[in-house]
Amino acid sequence: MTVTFSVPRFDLDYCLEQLLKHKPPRLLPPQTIEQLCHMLKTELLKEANIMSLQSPITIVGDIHGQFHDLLEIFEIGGTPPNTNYLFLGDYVDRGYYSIETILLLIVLKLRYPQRVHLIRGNHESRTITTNYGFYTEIVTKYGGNTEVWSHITDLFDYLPLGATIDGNIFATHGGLSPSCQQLDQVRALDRFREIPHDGIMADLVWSDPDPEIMDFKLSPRGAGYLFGYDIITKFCRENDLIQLVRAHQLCNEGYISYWGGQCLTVWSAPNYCYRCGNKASVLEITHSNMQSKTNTEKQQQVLPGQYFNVFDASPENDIDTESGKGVNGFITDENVNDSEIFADFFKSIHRGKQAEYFL
Amino acid sequence: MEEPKPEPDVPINTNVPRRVKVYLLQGDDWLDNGTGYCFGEVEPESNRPYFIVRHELDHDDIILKLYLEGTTQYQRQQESLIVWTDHSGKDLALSFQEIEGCADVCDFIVRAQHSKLSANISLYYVIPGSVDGDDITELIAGPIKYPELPTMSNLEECLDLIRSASSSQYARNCIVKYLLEQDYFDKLVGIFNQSESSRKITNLFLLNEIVRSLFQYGDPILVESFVSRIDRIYGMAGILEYDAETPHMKTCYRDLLDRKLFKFVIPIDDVEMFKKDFYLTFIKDVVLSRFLEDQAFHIIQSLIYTNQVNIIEYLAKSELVKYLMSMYQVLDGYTNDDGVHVETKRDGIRMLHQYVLIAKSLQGKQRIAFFSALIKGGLFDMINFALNDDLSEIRILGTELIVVIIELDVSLVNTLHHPGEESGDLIIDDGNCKEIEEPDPNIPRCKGVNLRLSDDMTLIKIFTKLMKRDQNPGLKIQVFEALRILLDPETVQAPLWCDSERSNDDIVTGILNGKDDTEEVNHGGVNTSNYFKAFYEQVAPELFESLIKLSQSNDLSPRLFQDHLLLQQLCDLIVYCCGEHDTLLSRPFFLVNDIVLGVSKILISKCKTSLKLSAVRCIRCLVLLNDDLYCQYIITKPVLHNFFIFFQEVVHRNNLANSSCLDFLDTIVKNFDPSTTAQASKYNYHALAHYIYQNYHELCETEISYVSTGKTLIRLVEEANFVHKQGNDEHAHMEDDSCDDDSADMEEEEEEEEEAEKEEEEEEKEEEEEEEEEEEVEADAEADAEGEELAQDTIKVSTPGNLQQENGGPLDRNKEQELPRVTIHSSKKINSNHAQQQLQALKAKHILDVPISLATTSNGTTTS
Repeated sequence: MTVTFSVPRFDLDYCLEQLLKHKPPRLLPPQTIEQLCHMLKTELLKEANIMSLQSPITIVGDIHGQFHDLLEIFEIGGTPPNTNYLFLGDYVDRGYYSIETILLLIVLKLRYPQRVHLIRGNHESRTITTNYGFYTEIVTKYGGNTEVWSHITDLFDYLPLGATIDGNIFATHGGLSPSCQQLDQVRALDRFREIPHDGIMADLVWSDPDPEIMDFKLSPRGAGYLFGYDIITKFCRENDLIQLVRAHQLCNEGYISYWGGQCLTVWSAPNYCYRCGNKASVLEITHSNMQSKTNTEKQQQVLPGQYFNVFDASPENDIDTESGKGVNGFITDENVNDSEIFADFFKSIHRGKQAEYFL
Repeated sequence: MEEPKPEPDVPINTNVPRRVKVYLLQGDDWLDNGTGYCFGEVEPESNRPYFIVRHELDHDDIILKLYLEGTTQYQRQQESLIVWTDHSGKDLALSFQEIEGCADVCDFIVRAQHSKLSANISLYYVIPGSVDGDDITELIAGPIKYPELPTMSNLEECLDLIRSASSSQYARNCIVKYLLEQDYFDKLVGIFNQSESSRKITNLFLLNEIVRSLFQYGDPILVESFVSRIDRIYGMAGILEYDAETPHMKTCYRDLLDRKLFKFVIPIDDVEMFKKDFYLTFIKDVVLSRFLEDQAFHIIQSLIYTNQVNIIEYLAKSELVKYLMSMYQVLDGYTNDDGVHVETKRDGIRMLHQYVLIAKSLQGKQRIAFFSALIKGGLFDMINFALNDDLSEIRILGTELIVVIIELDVSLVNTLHHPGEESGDLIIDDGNCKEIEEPDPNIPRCKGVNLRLSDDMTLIKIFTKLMKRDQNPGLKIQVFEALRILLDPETVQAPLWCDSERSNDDIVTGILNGKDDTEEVNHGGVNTSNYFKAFYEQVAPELFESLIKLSQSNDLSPRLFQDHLLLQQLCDLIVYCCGEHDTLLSRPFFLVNDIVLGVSKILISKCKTSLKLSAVRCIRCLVLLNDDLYCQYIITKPVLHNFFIFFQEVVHRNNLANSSCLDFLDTIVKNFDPSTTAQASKYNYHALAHYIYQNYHELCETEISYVSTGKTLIRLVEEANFVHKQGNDEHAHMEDDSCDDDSADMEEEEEEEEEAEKEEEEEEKEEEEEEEEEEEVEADAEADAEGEELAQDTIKVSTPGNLQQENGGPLDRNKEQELPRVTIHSSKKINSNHAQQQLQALKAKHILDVPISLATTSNGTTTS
C-alpha cells in the first residue's frame, strides 16, 4: 500500500473547512477518507482499551448522525482544542448526517489527538450500521460506492472501549459486564474485532443500569445486561472508582443520574430521530475533587465539579425535521471552483454518476 | 366491483324477498311504517325499476312502492340500512333484518344504475370513521362525471374531476377505463407540448398535478400504459419536470434521458426490451422517487422485474452470449483479435457485469439458466481477459462478476460439463444444451469450458495471481472473498440450488464422481478431497509464497513486507483453511512449508503494527484449534519465541498491541485453567503454559504487573506441578505430569488428588495412581509411534521435497532451531541477570524436547 503515513496539518484544516465552513457541509472524497482512516488507525493502535484521561473534559453521549447538533455542542461547550472532549460512541445511524458527523470527528481527532477522544459504541459495528442507516446513507451520498463504509467500519475496530478520568471516573458507552470485575481485565482483550454477541466487549457497549433491580439481569435489548446498585457499588469499590459515566439511553431531559450520581447517563442527540422532542446534554467535568461541593450539583444529582450542559436541537435541523428526510445535506447549486483541491470530486457528485447502459 | 353493461335481457330483479322495516322521517323521528318483504323489480311496460315492500302478513298490502328515478342518492349505512330522500323530499329508510338482504337490494340499485334504466341515481356506502367519528362516504354506483378531453383551457376542471374520483374505487375504475379508451394520456402529452412551447406555466403545473393524481390511483394498467412507449415516457418525464411546489425550479429529466446512455456492444433485435429496463428504472429511481405512492412503486417495481426476467431469459436462450464470449476466445495461444477493439471488449465486460447484477436478483431457475449459458459460452476466457486488463476498473468488474456467480452458484462453476468424458450429456440445462453438443465449426470449444471440478484449479489460480500482483486494495479484498468462497468446503459440497431446483443433479454428481450409486453423493457436491488436494498441491505453495520465503530467510528487510495487505490476508486465510479444511490435507502443508513460522517472523520484523497484530491473531487461532501437531510446532519452532519478542517490546505500553498479546496469553490461561468448564482436552494448553512458565517466568510474574493474566498462568502451572512434585519427589518430570491433563476427566481426578495430597494421607492410593499412569504412558508411546508415522506419511505425500527434513527426526530439528533461539534471546533484555538468562536458555533447551514426546503421547491417546 502506498498510502502516506501522515497528512500535513494544513490538509486536515482544509478538510475541517469543507465540513464546517460550508452549508451544507461538504463530503470528503473517498480517497481522502481512506487516507484519514488509515492515519487514524495507526494512531488508535497506540491507544489503550481503556484510555487514561484527565479533567477538565467534556463528555458527549450519543450523536447518531445529527451533525448540526454536534456543531451545537461545540457552540455551547467550546470548540476543540479549547475544550477537551470525550465522545462515548454511537456517532452514526438514525440521523441524516452520519457520514459528515463521523468525518468531522475523525478529522478533529487527527488534528487534535490529545484534545479529542473517541470510544466505541454499539452502533460502531458493521452489522448495526447496515441496518440502521449509515450504510444506506453512504450508498446514497457516494453514488453506490460502499468503499467509504468499509473504510470507516474497519476503523471502528480500532476504537478504544472506554476511558478513565483522573483515575476515578469510568466512562464507557453502555455499562458493566458480569465477566469483568476488574477494570484491568478489559486490558487483556483484543478489541480489534467486530463487536461480539457476548463477553466483556459486548457488555461494555450494550449494558444499561437499572435502579429497579439487584445483580445482573439479561438485557431486553438482546445483548448486554441490566445491572443494579449492588453491582456498580462493588465495581467502584474494587476498582477505586467513584462513578460510571455512560450514554446509550435516550433521556428526555438530556441526562439521568442514578444512585445519587454514582452512575450518569449523558445523551447528546436532541429531538432524537427528529421527532422524540427530547433535550440533550454534555457532561462538563472540571475537576474530580470531591471536597469542593457547591449547590448546583445537588440539583442535577452529579458529583462536585460536574455539570450537565443541557441544550435543544439546533434550528438548522428544522428543514429536515419538516420534510422527514435529510434535505439540507445535499450539494445543490454550489459553484465549485476549479482550483479547489476536491473540485473533481464535487463536480462528479454534482453531475451524478453518468448512467451508462449497455446493449 | 365494476360490472359490464348489462344487456337488456339480463335480469335486474332481486330473486329473494327480504324482510325489512320501512321508516319515514317526520320531524326528528323515524316512524315505523310497518314490516314486510322487499323486492326490487322492473316494470315491464315502462322499463322503470322500483322497490316494493309488501306487508309480511298480507302479500297484497303494499307498504311502499317507489321508482328509482331522478338523481336520488341512496346511502347504505351500518351495513343493514338504506336511507334516501325521494324526489318529493321525503326521507325514507329501509332497515333490513339481515345484512345479506341489504346487500342484495343494494346490488339491485347498482344494476339499475349500470343498466342505465335509472342512470342518474347513485349509491353511497357510509363507512364509520375509525377514530374521530367522521364517516367516510364512498360512491359505489352512480353517474360518473368524466373529464373532458384536455384542451389548453379546461385542465383545471379535468384535474378536479380526476381528483374527486380518487376516493371511490368505482369512480376510479370508470375513469381509468375512459382514459384508456380515449388515449387520454397521449392527449395530455399533446397539450403539454403545446403549453410548454407557448410557455403556459399554469397549464404545466396543472398537467403535473393531473399526472400525479393519476399515479395516485395506483392502477396497474394505467401506470403500465404511461410507460408503454418511449414517447409517453418522455412526455411523462417532461410533465413531471414542472412542480408547483418549486415554481422557480425545473428538473431536467428529459435531458438525462436524452444523454447518450446506450452503448451497443453486440447487435440485438429486441432493443426495446433492453431500453425499457433502463427507462423504468430511471422513472422509479429518479422521476417518481419524489412522490411515488407505495402502490405505484410496487407496480413499477413489478414491471421492472417482469421485464428483467424477459431480458435474462432472452439472453440465456439467444446466441448473444456466445457471440459476446467469442470476442474473448483464445485460440491456440492467440487471442481472437480480428477487429475486436479492446474498448469493445471492455464494454462487453461492463455490459455483462450489468446483466449479471440483474440476474442476481432473479429467481433460481432463470439465474441458473443464464449463468450456465455464460459458462458454456466461455466465460472464463472473458474473465481472464478482464483480470489481465490494464484498467483496474475492468479488473474489478471482472472480479465482481465472477464473485457474484460463485457466491450464488459455486457448484455451477465447478460441476459444469467436461466434454472430455464420455458422459458428455452432463450439461446442466433444460433444452438449449443441444446447441452445445452439436459441434459448431465457427466456435471451437475453449479451454475454460472444460472445467473439471475434481482437480480444476483454473479459477483459483487466476485469483491467486491477482491477489499477489494487484495493488488495488479494494480488488484484493474482493478477490480474497472469492477465494474464500471457492475454498469453503460447504459451498463446494452443497450447491444452493440442487435440492430444490433439479432432480438430476444427483445423477450428474454421481457420474462426476465416477459412481453409479447416487445415494452416496446426494448432496450434488464434488469430490472435495481431490479438490482440496489439488489446491494444496498446485496453488497453495504459490499463494503462500511470501510466507514461505519469509520463513526461510534470515534477512527480514522491509522489502518482504511491502505488500502488507496480502500478508494480512494470508494470515486470515491460514486461520480459515486450518479451521475448515480436512486437517490431514491442510496441516502438513502449513507445517512442512513452515508457513506458521513465517507468520511468526512477521512479529520480529520491521513492519506495520496492524500486520503484526494479524499475525498474533493468526497464531492465537491456531492455538485455539487445540491441535497436537500445531501446538507442538508452535513450541518447538520459535513461533512462541517470536511472539514473546514482540510481547516484550510492547509489554510496558498500554495499547492495542499490548492488549492483543495479553489476549493471546489469556487464551492459553483460560483454556488451561482446570476450573473452567470446557470439556476439551487441556493437554495442549498445558504444554504451552509450561513452556511459557519455563521461559518467560519473569515476564509473566513481574513485568505484566498490571493484569493478573501472567500471575494466574504461573499459579496454575505451579499448582499442576505441585501434584507431581508431591508424587515424584526425586525428579518432577514434566512428561508424567502432562499426561494427567489429557482430558477433563483426568483433570478432575487430579484436583481430587491434590486435595488428598494436601492432607498428606492415603499414600497408598497415590501409588496406585502412579502405577496406572506409567502403564498409560507406555501404551501411549506405542500408539504414538503409529501416530507419528501417519503424520509423516501425509507429509511425504504432499511435498516430497521436504522429506529429508522430516526424516531428520524431532531431536535434530530442535537442535537446529535452538541456535538462533539462544542468540536472539541473549540479544534481548529479557532478564537483567545475564547468568540467570543463560541458565534459563539451557533449561529451555533441556525442556524443549519434552513437549515433543508429550505431544506424541497425546497424539497416541487421541487415536486410541
